[in-house]
Amino acid sequence: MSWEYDIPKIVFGEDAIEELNRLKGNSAFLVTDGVINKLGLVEKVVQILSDNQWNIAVWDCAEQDPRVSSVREAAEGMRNFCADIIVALGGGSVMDTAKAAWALYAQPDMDLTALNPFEELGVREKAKLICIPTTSGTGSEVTKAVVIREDESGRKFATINPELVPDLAILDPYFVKDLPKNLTAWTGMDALTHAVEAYTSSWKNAFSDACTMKAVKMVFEWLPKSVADTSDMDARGKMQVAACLAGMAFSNSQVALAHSLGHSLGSVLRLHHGMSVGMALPYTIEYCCTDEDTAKYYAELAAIIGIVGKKPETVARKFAEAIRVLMEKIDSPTSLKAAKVTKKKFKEGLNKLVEYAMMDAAITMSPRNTDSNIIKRIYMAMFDGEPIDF
Amino acid sequence: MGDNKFIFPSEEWIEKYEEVLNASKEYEDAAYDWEGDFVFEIEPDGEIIKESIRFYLDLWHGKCRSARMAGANDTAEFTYAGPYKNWKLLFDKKIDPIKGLMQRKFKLGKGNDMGKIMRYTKAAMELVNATTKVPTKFLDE
Repeated sequence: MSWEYDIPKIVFGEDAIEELNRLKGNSAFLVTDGVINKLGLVEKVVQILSDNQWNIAVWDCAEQDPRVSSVREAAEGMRNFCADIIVALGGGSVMDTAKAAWALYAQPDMDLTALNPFEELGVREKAKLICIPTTSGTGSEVTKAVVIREDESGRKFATINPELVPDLAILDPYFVKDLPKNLTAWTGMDALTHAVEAYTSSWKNAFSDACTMKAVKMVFEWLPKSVADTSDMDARGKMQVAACLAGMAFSNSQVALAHSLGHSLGSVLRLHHGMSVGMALPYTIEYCCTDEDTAKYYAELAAIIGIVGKKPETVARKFAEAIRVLMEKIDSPTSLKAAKVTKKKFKEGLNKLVEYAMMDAAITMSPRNTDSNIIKRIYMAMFDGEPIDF
Repeated sequence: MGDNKFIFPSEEWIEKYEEVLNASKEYEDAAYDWEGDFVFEIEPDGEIIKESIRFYLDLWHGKCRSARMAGANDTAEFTYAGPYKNWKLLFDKKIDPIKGLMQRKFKLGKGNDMGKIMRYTKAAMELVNATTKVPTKFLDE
């Protein structure tokens, strides 16, 4: 059965930002957030665009885990400005805001919560999208995925549409030089989770597998260095590439259970996305590795970091443990308790956590089927930091 | 129905499917608050299927309240349609129900509430999983 592999043009390495000099058009709408603006990263982009006589509008109101209403505001800005290029400068939330707003720019009457993989949006009749990530994890600069939050319920929902793959991704290490330790760690865990889930998802394919294998190797090698020494620009550049490879992989084969659990943690407990999915990853490996084929896939990934053995399930469990060791090394919590979630708050939110995880589209990609009772048990194990043995 | 298999598509198949679906704990769990009906449509291919064949499913809170062959004028909140050969591949798990839509192997009815569907992708998957539990003999076998 035929399938497709969608990725944008990628320009990477030192001074990759100069690629902006080659853009053609009149009106550039820059989507970013207040923090990025304060760091002075916006100025660098604006300077290049100004030198090339672009009309520029800067919208720096993107929020973490963007709500539908926030996306609508960005789309309104694009429409009023008649943007023919959208530049997203920021982390996953900024880029997802830009992508979702791009969809609304083309389809103003669309219900964003109904954004789905099947409908034609016609986004390129309105503008092109350039993404410049300032974190190394989301991969949103190369994906067809967006994660948005409902205003009323706060539920995060993830969806894909093939048209939402950006036209150009610029990976310039300059833009991740100021990323603090904790965000470096959490976004790096996001990248690892993308890679591992892409490799075991029910939509896996040879192209995404290739990206995944390189990404896993790079994350284990470069993430600890990138966290330990925030001035190590080599490590930061390598993590940018690793995250992008993982993004290319999951965009074309999808994420799975760890993301369903993580999205729900973000919705209900407002935990950081990368921290949440990274924390969930080893538990989901332990849950899914009882499936024989899936255990083999995990074992293949484990071999990349030097973990080998005769029984794939045993190797998979060692791989899960190696991920926990990595998280401890980079000071990313391995349990909800360690993330300072109180028992009371956890208990209060548990039913909602389960409900939202069950509603998350990524759950259908899990290599081992789940139900609401199993989801609940996994969350309880995650709270205490107990490995999964069911 | 000599070999304990149910001919697809047929009235006996949909009756068995209703039974299987109502026994599915996975579907019940994933669709516990779903309210809405579905039409599964097998599109004509000019060879095996001369005219559209349609199944109507009334789905309510994790159960199938009724399932039957439907006529051309029977409508439902959601329609999932594709040619016979693709239904066979779907039952054989060679097409994924959601990927199948992206691959244009299946289509949803115009105006279907996609926001609602996107919140129940697991339930949709379990609907398809239930088809694989019906011992099926295809028309052209």
